Amino acid sequence: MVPPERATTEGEPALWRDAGLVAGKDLRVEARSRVATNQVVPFALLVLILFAFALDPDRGILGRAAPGLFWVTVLFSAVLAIQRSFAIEADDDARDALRLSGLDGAGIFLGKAAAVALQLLALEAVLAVGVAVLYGVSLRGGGLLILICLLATAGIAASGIVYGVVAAGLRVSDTLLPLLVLPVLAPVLLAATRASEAALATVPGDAWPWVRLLAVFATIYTVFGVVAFGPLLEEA
Amino acid sequence: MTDAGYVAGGYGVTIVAIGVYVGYMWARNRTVVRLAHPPSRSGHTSAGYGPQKRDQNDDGSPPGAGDRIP
Amino acid sequence: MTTGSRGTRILGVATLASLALTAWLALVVSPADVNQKDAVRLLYIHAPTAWLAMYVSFGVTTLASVLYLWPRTRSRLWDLVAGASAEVGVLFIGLTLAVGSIWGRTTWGVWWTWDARLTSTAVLFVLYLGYLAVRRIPADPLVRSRRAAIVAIAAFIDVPIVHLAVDWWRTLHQPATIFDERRLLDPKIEGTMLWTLLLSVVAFTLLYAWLLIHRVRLARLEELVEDRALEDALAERRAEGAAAGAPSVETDEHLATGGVR
Repeated sequence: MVPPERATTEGEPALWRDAGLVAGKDLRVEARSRVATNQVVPFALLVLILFAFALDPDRGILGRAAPGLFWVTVLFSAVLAIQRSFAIEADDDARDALRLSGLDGAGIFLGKAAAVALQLLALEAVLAVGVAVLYGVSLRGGGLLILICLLATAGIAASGIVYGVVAAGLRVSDTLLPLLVLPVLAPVLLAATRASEAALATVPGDAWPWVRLLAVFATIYTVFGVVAFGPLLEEA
Repeated sequence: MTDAGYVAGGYGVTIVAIGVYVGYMWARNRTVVRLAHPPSRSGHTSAGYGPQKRDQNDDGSPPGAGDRIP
Repeated sequence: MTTGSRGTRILGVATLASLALTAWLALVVSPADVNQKDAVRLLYIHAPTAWLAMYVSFGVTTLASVLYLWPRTRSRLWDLVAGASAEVGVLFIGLTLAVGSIWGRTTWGVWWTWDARLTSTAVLFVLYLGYLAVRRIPADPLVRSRRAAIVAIAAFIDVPIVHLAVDWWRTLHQPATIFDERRLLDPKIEGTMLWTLLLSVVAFTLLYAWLLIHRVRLARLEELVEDRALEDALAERRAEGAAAGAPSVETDEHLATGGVR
């Protein structure tokens, strides 16, 4: 079943307009329901606190492990954010409405991914403050850190939305999604952590290979999502 | 444990794992056979043994396509 | 109604014979390694299962998934091959990890190390467990097959990224250790050892083929039986309907053919 074609004179702009529409919708839903701010952010901060219990702050491990702990927390929070992104369409057959709306599949993908990415970036800002305060880490190499966050988040959002739609609408989606998406994100965790460590140690040279890997990952999965999301959405 | 013991363990694990998988396939095969020949209820028998002989399979491919690896 | 045939019996005999020969060469004839002594005999399982799982099994799964998605080559067979190959691949990867772990225990005294290859293998294992989970989701079979195929491709494109990232990680940041892990993992292989290794690869490839064929046929049989059970149920319902004179057939057929959801 193919969504009705838009007037061909519109071409490219339709993609971005659809993406904007969907992103706007998702973000507006979030603004009204405040699930991310009321639940996901506290969850993330809680994880930071739990790490302190687990790793004993007096032994100096927290500071050294901080980049890794930060990114692990981001990953777990991302799973929640992605689940939420698809949960808002679970009611009232909203997913069917989305499919029948005539919006371009690629546009829906980009819109949802952008919405999740923006929420994650906001979360990362909060977590960065959390890590600085709770783990006593001084956030040097700010520009590079921001770049790392942008690229890693893009990759997380892109691959997350792809797997999110695979798991969407199923009774088992809550357990299936982490199983699918976390192994795929393992390289992102690796690269983001190593790059962040280099940035914090103000040795940016070490970070560049990892930053490139993050960029490659984000590109590959964005392209994949643009191509695959439409077909995946069609039959759900 | 000596080296030889570990090596034996490794080979043993391999044989057991493959055996378990073959056994699993065999068990499912038996289930499938049982399902294919249920006791008939309304007096109408399930049609024949083995895959249906038909002119065409459902997706239009010739008969037997997909039954064997080409 | 069995998944066996003359072809698979021949293949099966060949597989068994080559595996037996490999075992004999590996355990009896070939020499112990200079550094690892007898532990190196585990190489003849670990290496072929690793290679077969990563390159052959999952390669076949990905290729079959692409062929299934591509309109011109679409066929149920490809979907079944993809699933079967992934199942056998997960079996082989599990073996790779288990035997690799035992091997590590003999050479380094630890059941696990985070060296690049084992780590990548572990990630791959979980990746394809996820794929197998998608093959079992409660959904329309065609939906399920399509989603699985896309997940297979998404997993496959991650594989080189995982390898690269893990490799960089473990080579750039390798702390000084007493054991040179790489040296121990790559014993010098020549002469009898080389032939044994080559034979083991052949033997395990035959095993993979034999397992794959049986698994695909099994899946095919199960589909046929399910389809036929559906037809039988329909036929019975029609018979009942005709006997009672009630026109309820259309609804049943619509539901049974899966409708358009």
